[in-house]
Amino acid sequence: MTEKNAAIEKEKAPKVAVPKRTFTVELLVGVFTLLGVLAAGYQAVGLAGMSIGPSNEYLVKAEFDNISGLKTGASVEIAGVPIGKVVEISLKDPQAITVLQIDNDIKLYDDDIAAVRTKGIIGDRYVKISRGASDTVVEPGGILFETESVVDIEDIIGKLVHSFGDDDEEQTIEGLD
Amino acid sequence: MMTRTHTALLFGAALAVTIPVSPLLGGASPVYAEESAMAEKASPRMEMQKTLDSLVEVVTNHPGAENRSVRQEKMRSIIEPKFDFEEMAKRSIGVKWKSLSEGERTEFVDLFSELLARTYLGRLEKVEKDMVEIRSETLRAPRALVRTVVSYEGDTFPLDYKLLQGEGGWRVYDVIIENIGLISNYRSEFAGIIRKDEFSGLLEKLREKNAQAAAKEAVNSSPG
Repeated sequence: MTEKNAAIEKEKAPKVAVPKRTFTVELLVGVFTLLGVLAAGYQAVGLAGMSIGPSNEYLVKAEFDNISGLKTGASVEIAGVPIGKVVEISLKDPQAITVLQIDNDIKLYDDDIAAVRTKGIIGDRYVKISRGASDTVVEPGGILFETESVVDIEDIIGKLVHSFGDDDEEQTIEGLD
Repeated sequence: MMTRTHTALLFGAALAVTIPVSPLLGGASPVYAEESAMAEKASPRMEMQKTLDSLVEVVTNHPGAENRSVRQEKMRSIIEPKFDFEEMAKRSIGVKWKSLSEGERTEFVDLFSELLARTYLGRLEKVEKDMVEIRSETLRAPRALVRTVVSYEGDTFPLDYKLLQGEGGWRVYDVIIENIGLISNYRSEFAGIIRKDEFSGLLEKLREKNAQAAAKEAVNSSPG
């Protein structure tokens, strides 16, 4: 009986559509799944603005009188090209302290000016770096001393003061004298 | 209102040019020597106050249009040692500085100092006692920031000075009015001019501006 059964089983066995289970196929599936998960994870981390692995950036501090509207994650730019971002904002009463994360291949010098400016019409704030003439590099962890705060509309009037081509304005003033 | 604020700001910029006592003004030289020894230790804030006092003194002692040239001469001698014009020029022109020859640098610094002096000296003449109040100083050797508030014709506005400590004591290298820095402003302006007209174009423009200012001055000082 049992022998018969076994024989039947034996006959039946090939008919059941069991694929040939091989080690390589399973391994491949596993590897692909794992790769998929890792890729999704990497994307997620990237989207969240974090980074994995050895750092390609360094940090410098900059103090401002007023950074109204500047948020962490805002970009740091030279000539409109992003070279880093704002990673931390804190208050050291009465000043605002920002920590900027700068790409390793960009060096900052001690007379570079960091200014909080407005991008486009919507008015995203970003940090604009204008280059100076110094040869003294700001080391990682160092402080960028030359900063310029958010400019209010009223302050723009002040800008005329140092302006180059305001002859008409000057005449008004002479006239008042 | 706009014009008044503007005038006030212009005036403030003039005060940009403000810090300690010059030998020409100091009177008796032993007194000056003593003062200079003190100045070594003096804080930027104290130096600034001294300069302001001496400027007020010059203005009150030499009033009127007839004393204009004497007055301006004296004011210039007070102010000049207290401003680091080379540093200002260098910072204003930015990266371009590195590629300039020694001669070009000297020429640029001269023209730029002349421009600053001409632009601001006239406004400085309106300084009065208690018009400028020094609020605070922040020291971070070799840098210092002195914050002042200027009251002029009913308006008040902040005016900050950035100083560097060098062999000649504390000298101003940047002036910030209502968050607008002089250096930063000139830097973007000069960069634009250089991009368009090269360095020679910038020199040309500075010369032109100085000549205009000189002509205006001549008209103002001539009677009638």
